[in-house]
Amino acid sequence: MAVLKELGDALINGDAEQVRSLVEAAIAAGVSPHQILNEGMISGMEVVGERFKKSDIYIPEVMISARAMLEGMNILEPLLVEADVKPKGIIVIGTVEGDLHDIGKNLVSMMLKGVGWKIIDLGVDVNADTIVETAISQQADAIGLSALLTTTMGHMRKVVELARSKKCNSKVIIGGAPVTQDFADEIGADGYALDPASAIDVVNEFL
Amino acid sequence: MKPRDVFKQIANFELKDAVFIPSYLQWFWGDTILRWSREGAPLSVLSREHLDESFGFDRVVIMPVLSNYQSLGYYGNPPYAPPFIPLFERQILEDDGRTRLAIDAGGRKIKEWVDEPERMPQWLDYPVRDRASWNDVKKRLDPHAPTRFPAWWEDQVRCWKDRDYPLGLFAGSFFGLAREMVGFENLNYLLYDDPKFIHEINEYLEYFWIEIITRVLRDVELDFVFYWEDIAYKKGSLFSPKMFREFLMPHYIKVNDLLRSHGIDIILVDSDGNTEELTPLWIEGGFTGQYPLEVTAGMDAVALRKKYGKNHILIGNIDKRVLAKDKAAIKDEVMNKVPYLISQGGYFPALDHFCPPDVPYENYLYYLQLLKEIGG
Repeated sequence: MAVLKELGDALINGDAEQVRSLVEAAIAAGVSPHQILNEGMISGMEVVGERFKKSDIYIPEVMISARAMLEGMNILEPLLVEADVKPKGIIVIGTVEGDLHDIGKNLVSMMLKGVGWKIIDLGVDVNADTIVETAISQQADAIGLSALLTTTMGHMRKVVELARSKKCNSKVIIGGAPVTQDFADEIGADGYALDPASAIDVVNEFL
Repeated sequence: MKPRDVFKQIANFELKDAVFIPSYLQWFWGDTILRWSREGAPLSVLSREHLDESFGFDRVVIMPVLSNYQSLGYYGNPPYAPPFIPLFERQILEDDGRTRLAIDAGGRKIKEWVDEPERMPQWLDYPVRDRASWNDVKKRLDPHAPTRFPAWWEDQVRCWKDRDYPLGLFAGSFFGLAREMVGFENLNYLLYDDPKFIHEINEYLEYFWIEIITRVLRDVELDFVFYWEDIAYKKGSLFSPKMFREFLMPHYIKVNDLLRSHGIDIILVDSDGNTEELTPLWIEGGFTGQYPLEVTAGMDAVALRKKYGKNHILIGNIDKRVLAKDKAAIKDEVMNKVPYLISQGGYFPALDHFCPPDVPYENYLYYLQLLKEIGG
């Protein structure tokens, strides 16, 4: 459908105004919110994710696309709720206790929202209890953890251990500057994301 | 040979198999020093310059000109602020005993730790939002502000004339300083929403540094210049080569051409993260070396040396995490890198960022001992 292809292209180009107009045009043309979301918005963000992974585009381009997506979602969201369209799943995300760094976490949130996940962003300096309790109460499919410092990444282990002890079924996926696959294996995390674009792949792999 | 000559000859790939540990590029968190003072380190470690002397680092001095982001913390450590004169007045907005909301000396609204001033805060808002606020902030970046250069400048200059150590200037930051003033997210949006504004900021910063450098060069025989950018992360460059060429390259070329025209050919840049994609761009822009070559970001000094040959000075790349392990691991790390790198010239050993507080004092001493043994 031409309008949805144009919508995807506008999103890829980060043209928020065009995304808004095209979402409105698609709605006016009787396209279902679900179809607008999947074939226009999510398909556009998936292209953004792929291009980012290959370094065809960089963070500024991802951010303007994510901003354009949010503009479209502001119009679409109430209609999606009305039509009872569910997100792909729920991911609880936060920067671990003792760490106030949020840039990486925010980028990952943007990208995962863009491809249809509901993100519960707990912010920064979040303790393990809050993360795991939220994941359990929200029946989250995954927990995403970010840490910038070697001195705070140890809190990721606490989250993994607490989640296991509370029989929380959410997959734990970790990332951040000092974090490695080896560390993820060592603490028993389910997944490790090298960067925001890889986070999408990791989430898709597990969920 | 004077240390100043050793430094320059290593940097110019003329002197090989020599270990020169530049004092300026050995960085320690305050908590690390406190830990070491409890583990038997002498009291001298509590003073930055005395630590340098007692550890036997090779003296490298950065001239006390307020020309780049400045340290407001203990030991030359965070918190940092742009080179504003005057600084913004610090204000506490909320305090829950553990963290507090504040306006910092850089005019940023931050959430910071009450008891850990070195720990990175969360930045919530920035002083430059638009041209009007930039015109206000610019007044704090007057290169000719009376306190930008130290008092008794002529005396300083006289003392430096007879020095036997390398003397550098910390100047130059386009992406880094713009980000400090505008904010990371806003800067990224502005690159598309209002690129002209970013150009205006960078044109002013170019003027700022050229004015400072011109005055320094008039009076002082400088050995090197050190930029700060932090323009990369684990995956690579924060923005595209195309944007690099558009927003940064012209300014780098202008400033670095000025430096080279005065015989300064040691022009270094500090960026965390994986800078592999940026290295050829920096070389094109007139830089001759970089630091710290973070191992967790995939940087490999040995591979870089093989790729760039004598085209690029390398500083750092000793994995700081390994120093928290055992001596065998430390020896492996050092011996796998340093002997080869010094055999090629153009390398200065350093950890790949601040030495963290999980490194025991004895491990750090062992690391230094290894370096000294390698250097003979």
